[in-house]
Amino acid sequence: MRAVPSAALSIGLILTAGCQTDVAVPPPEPPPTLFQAKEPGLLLRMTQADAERYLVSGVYGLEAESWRWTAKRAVVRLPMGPVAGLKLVMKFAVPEPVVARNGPVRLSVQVNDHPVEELRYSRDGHYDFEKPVPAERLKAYADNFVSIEIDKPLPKDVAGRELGFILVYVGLQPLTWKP
Amino acid sequence: MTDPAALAVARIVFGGGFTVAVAWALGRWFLRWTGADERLARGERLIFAFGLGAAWLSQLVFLLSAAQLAYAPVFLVAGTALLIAGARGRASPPAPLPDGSGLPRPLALLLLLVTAAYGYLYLAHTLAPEIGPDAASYHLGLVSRYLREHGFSRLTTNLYAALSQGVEMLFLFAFAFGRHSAAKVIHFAFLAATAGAMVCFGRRFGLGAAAPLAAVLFAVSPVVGADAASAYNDVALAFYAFLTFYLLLMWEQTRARALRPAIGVAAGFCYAIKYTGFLAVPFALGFLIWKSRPSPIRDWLPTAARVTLVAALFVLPWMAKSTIIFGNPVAPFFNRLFPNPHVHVSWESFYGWRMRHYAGMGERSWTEYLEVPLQLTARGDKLAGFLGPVFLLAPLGLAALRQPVGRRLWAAALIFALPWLANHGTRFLIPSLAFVSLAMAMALWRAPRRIALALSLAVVVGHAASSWPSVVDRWNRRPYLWRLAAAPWKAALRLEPEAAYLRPRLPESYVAQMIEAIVPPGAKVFAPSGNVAEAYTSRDVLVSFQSATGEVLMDHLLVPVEYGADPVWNIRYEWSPRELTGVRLVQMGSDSFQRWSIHELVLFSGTERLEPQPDWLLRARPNPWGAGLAVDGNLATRWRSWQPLYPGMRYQVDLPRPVRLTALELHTSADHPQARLELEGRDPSGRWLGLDSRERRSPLYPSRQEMKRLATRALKWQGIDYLVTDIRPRGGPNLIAPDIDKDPLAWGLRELWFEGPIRLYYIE
Repeated sequence: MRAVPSAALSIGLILTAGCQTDVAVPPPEPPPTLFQAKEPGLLLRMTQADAERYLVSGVYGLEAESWRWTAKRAVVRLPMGPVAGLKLVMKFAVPEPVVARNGPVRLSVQVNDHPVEELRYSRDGHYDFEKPVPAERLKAYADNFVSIEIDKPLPKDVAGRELGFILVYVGLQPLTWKP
Repeated sequence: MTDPAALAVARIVFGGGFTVAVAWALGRWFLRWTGADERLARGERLIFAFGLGAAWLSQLVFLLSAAQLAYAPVFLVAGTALLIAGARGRASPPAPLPDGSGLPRPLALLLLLVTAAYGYLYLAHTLAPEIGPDAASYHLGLVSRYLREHGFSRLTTNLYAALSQGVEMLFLFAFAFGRHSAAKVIHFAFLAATAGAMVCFGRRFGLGAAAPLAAVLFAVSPVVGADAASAYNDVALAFYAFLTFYLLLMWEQTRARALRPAIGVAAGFCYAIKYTGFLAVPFALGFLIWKSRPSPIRDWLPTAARVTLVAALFVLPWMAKSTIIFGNPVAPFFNRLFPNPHVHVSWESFYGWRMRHYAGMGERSWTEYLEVPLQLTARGDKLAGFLGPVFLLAPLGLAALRQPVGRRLWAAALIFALPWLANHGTRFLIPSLAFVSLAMAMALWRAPRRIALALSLAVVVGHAASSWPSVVDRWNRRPYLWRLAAAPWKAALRLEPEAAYLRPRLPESYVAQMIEAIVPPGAKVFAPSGNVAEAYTSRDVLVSFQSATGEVLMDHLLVPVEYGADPVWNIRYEWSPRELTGVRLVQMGSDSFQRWSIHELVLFSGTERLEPQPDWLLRARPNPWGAGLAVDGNLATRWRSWQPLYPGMRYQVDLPRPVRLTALELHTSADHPQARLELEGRDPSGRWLGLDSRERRSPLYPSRQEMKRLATRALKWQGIDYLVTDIRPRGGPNLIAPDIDKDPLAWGLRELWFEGPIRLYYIE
């Protein structure tokens, strides 16, 4: 008979466990980018907490809390609102081991499979890139895909990773935007 | 029969047969363990062992699913072990029962003939691919998902997953070996068990020829046949309701303590099968206490407590699962009492109303309900099936009230018919029908024997003939009639390909197969009107009316096209600059239908528009979980109360530190004119004060084109990549379909496939 109070207690706990009377939620993530009155543009920083959801392929995990290695070809997804008056912006690095082993390297940049630029680097270092992208090459209120491909990556490392270059951020920003 | 066909049939037979055998073995062990088997006759042992063992097997599958161990090999090993353990040992001699010599030979022959004919019909439908709409969408849809995911997952986008699924656990065990049709075999086994139990009951309680007659009346009923030959659960519930009753009357007769655990199992498992089965527990307790009078409480309390505790073993796991996943032990109901993010209060109200107004019955006038007796027994097009015209004679069964067993049968019939008041579907009367059939047959056999025999023969011939599919074709040609067609033996034996059988009978299965072919694994599909047979696809399909998430997704799509849903007002409140740590809108209006909503809420500090920050907190009452939709920057999405207006609703923004605020803008729709808003601000000391604000209302002219894009973008943000629409103009969820069909690109959609009125789009 001692089981009866236990059963009653269990039922009570189950019944009360569901009650949620005071709930507070933060504004939704990812941050709003769609409202028509907002500044257009989207910058994907490799450090941002939700970066993974924009990485399509060829971008590895965060290192030194600031950058990510890429594979031979890195592809990211940029969900955009309005697309008029935007430029492609990118901060990246060509690492010393890549140039030391392969000599000058070439980076091909594409947006939605349209070539944007071919970049050549014979020295390692940090680089900023930006170039206006015509609106007709972009998709409004849709995912836009940016791909960057290095012609001569490093051979696979011990972890089986093919290493290309280092990415800090990439995005489509208004023409007036400054890093 | 080709090899693949033979293999398919063998798998079905093994899946169904193995499950039934394991259930029987488990039940045999349980009956011996409790000592109840000594009280049972041979036939009772077989049926009770299957029924009680099936309940325990269901619990075992529940535990395995909770532990993510729902694998066919696990079921095979566990089942084999249980089969060996349960089948071992010699049983005690069966208790004697009066023989069945009360059954006149002509009636016995006729009943055998009818049983054979309907067995032939039902077995073919049972073995054929599943075409029952509810079975193909959620009963087996969920079973298939559990097997795929090896157990329960936090599935909150399908409120059917919140219901108790005791029989579905048995389906899962069988499905693992023989897929859909094996699950159907289990439900069909419950029909056979119910009919068998009715015959045994008649012998034990001296009902003579009435019991076999009643068993045939019950089993031949068109709605019972259609239900039993599908992976539904109403016939299983009828079995356990009857088993509870049977055990209670045995206990009344013998006062055997050994029967108490079995009563608890049968009554508790009624809840595990279907929420409406909860009535079995108070019925059993009420009966036990009533029949214990005038004994003092200490005499009957232990019996009642034991039955309650055993029943609780079958009730509490489902409540716990529902609490853990849905935040509501009885989800998807009682959401006012247990508010949760997964089911809206408005859905519950609408669902309850709809279930009481099948096909609009009773919407205009209560006099429309006068058609109910004919709908239930003969027409069936509005209430989804019919019992058979013979049940128009049910009131004659009241003559059975002259006998004690008859009074008990009618009491059970009424109790188990109560859920029908909440859901007018004919199948909700199936649990009551077994009792009514017995009462009718008893009443008939109160007549002199020769007259009773003649009447019985006439009733059986009339009922069996009028319920036979080809005969029904002649007298009831109403559309949308849920009943069995001619025996599909070619499909049952897989001589006709499954897809060929399914396509004309269940078009939703073809949509499911196309989704399977086109949509990649892991992608989510939104099918607002639910026209996808989920049991035939492994893709994740969300339906607009099956969860709060589905309703919100639907709302996004309706905003650009539904009159009154689009944001046409910008209401700006301005006040003298103040340091505030929060603002809130309090709604003071009342209305029975209108729901409050906010498409966007924007705060201003002077001319600066404040962007929502991650450290803001949004509170709303009701529906706090959707509060983010009012600050997501998307005009096609909105926070909604999902309840009619009542004073005291509020929407609140908490700021982490004082901010100098000067204005607030609301972008909102015109569909809740009765809303009365009051604005309050919280000063740095934490006090809420009315803000002396100036209200300025100006029209917004949102671009429809842009709204459509924003709507599908909102779906995309929430992980939905595909949309299925149905352009048949039925309103509701289909309201968007014709507009999308005219110009999918305007919505940011790319058409991937179409067939008749169905379209499948990719959300760009």
